[in-house]
Amino acid sequence: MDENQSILELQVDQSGSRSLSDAARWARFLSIVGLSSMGLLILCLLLLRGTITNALSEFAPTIGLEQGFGFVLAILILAVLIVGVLMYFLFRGATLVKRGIEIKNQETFNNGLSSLKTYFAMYGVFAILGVFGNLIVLI
Amino acid sequence: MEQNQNYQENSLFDLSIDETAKNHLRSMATWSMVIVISAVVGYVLAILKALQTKPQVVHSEGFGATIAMGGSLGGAIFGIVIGLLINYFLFQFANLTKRGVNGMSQSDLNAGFYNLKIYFVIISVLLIIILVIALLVVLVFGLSAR
Repeated sequence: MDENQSILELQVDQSGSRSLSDAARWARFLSIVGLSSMGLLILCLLLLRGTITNALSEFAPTIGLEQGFGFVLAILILAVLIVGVLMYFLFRGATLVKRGIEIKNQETFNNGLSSLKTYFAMYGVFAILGVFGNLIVLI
Repeated sequence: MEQNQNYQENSLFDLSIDETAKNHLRSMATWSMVIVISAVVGYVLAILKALQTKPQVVHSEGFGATIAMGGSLGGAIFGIVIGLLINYFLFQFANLTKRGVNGMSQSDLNAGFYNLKIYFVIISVLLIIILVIALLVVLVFGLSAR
């Protein structure tokens, strides 16, 4: 019975595992670059504080200097947090899927798929929000 | 001991797509489809926005005004073409993976995984290009500021 079931079951065969391993490698690269970019963005923001404050005072003179910079900082930190969480799930998913394939461990592989699912779900929610945002701007 | 035995049993065979994995893959496929549909709707809105923006009439010789209008629409079309290319592979991943899991088709599932790989490869290559351009811009501005 078990033998029959294993024949009928879908497998991560050689071709599938090669594609998934490659996908995981590129996804890991993407997540590492994404996380590093977010760190660099925060660093640039702190280093270019003076320039940003001056630009804001020219663009919107009614807003106080510290207030304006604080507003920009808050928006950017929110964006960094969102992207950071997304990249974390992508990194975790890619790492676990790759490790699961390498050591042929079902639980690790499934945990990796679960993280990738969370990544795609979060991405999907933000994609929908983006469409609504665009619609509001257009109307 | 038990863990070791499990590992040995697993290492003898390929990983299987069990019920948990199937559910995760179905969810991934569904959300991927949501991302693709949202992206396509976004592209339509981007075209509408580009068409709505009034062309700035530049009083210059030749076809200056045409260039000013074409710049906005051209940029949108360029972005859309790249976006469509990326999302085509995500769509293929979602479609084939769902078909593979629901229809128990190994070849469809493998094709789905292959398309996921291509999707991540294209995004990564584009990211590398963007980072190189950004680095060059920073270098040029840094050198010109000296």
